[in-house]
Amino acid sequence: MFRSLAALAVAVLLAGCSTAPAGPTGSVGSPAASPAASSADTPLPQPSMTMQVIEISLKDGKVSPNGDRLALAKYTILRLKITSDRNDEVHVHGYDVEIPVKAGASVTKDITLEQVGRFEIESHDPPLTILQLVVS
Amino acid sequence: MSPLLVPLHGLGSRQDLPLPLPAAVGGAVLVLLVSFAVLALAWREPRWNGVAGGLRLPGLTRFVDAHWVRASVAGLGVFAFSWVGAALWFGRDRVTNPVFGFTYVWLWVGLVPLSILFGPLFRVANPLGWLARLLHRLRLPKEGLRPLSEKTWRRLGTFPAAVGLLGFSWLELVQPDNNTLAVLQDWWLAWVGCIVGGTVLFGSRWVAAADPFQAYAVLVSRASPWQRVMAGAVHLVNPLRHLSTSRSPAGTWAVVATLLGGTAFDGFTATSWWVRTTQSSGLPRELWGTLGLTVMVALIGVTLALGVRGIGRLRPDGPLNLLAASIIPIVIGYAVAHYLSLLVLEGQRTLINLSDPLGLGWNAFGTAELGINQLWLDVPQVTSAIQLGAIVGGHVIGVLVAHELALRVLPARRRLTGQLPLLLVMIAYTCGGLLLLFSP
Repeated sequence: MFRSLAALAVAVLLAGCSTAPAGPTGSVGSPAASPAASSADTPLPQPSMTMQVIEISLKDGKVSPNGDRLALAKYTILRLKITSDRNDEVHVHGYDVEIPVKAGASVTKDITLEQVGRFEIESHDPPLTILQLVVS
Repeated sequence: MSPLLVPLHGLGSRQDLPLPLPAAVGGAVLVLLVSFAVLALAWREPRWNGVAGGLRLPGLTRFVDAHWVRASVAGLGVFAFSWVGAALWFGRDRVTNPVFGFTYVWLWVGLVPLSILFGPLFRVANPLGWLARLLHRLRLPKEGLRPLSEKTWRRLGTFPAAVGLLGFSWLELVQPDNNTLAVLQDWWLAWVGCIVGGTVLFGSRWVAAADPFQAYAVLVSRASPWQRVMAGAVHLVNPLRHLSTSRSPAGTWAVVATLLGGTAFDGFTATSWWVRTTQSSGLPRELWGTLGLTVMVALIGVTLALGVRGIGRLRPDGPLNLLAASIIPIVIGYAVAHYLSLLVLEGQRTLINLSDPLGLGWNAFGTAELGINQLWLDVPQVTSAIQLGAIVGGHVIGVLVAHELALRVLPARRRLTGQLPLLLVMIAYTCGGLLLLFSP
């Protein structure tokens, strides 16, 4: 199920993010692309069915991605997979989602992008911008 | 559509989308066309030659000068600052404390539309002006304890306010934890201390010379359609005439450069280049921020001075301050383009928070339960159009004002060539503004 979702996500993203100044999909994290299991009876892409997976790592006081821009269509589901070498929290501004992370552990969080605009995703200790999320 | 969000950190957590490339390029082309069209086609003799005027409004003058009107505006100002002052010292250290939104949004951003629509209303509302008057009532001499000569006042102009504005920009853009009460308390104390201390030493003229908010309000009000002619009756005027005939005190260029540089730097820090570069370096972000802000303000000041050199030699009261008036519309355009969405969203949030300054669950003004109206903000095209209109419109007005002012001081044979350097500088400011909104 998620595989086809991800494939759809990539397809829709490629078609839909023409306003983005730079194509971030390649440079940022892994879009988890894989062939769809079946394409014949796949329903038409619904706005809420697209998903983008981003892997975030907090390590040695640095963040990866490092302030890159990520342009996504409204209603995309953003899945953040975060690993950290310290206790911290990742804050998605505007959506006001706080994701606590534990040292050495990995955490996954899904956010449906319902608000249009530019939002920073940042770590707090130290305060660093991980991503600039551009939702249009 | 959007639920009422309770922000955890920081104001302005939602920024506008980058300006689409076609809009940015189209705007830049338009700017070039209009600029040279003005140079080639606009009036050849000064239209107003420094003479203020317009439609005299005796009724309005009586109204705005009426004791009860001034007292009401003053009362509102004193009440508002006391209210948020209470929130600052006795409220909770959360971003729902209204003092943050009041300082960074209502005061800093709201001053611009307020002063365009109503003129220098803030001068009457400014609680520090009334504090100065109170000190004089308490037998402080009008000239202060260390009176300054008229010549010094004229040389000082609004330079102290430019320093204050630079300080505020630093607080807004660089100061770590600027959304915590302890930090904001220090800055408020510094602000009140500098203005009150200066008033005690030099008298109440210090407020107009040094208060950053009043200087900003007065500067922007020069683009309003209301002008007092000869310190007398209020006139309804063409804003172009208002800008080119109102007084530019010494230091106007510094105020303009600080405001434009500060806004430009704010846009610059949102580019991914800035974020990546500063985060990859080992240097602390405060150092980067301080350097970046200083360089940006200096860049505007130096380019402005270079542009004006075509028009006349640099003297303290020379063309630099005179011509700085032509940058005011560009400052306003930048401010609208960068901060209007912030004013709309966070301004409403501040109105909600103001009902409960101490975090005790009050609903003093009946606004605590209000929701936030997104207005046009869900439609990015509208925001883009407003941004483009503000930047390009500010540029067009600025170029026309510069043209009028240049004609006043340039000899006939250098009428066009003398204007060219400043025109190029203004084009650079505007295209730079578009580039920052495009936000590479």
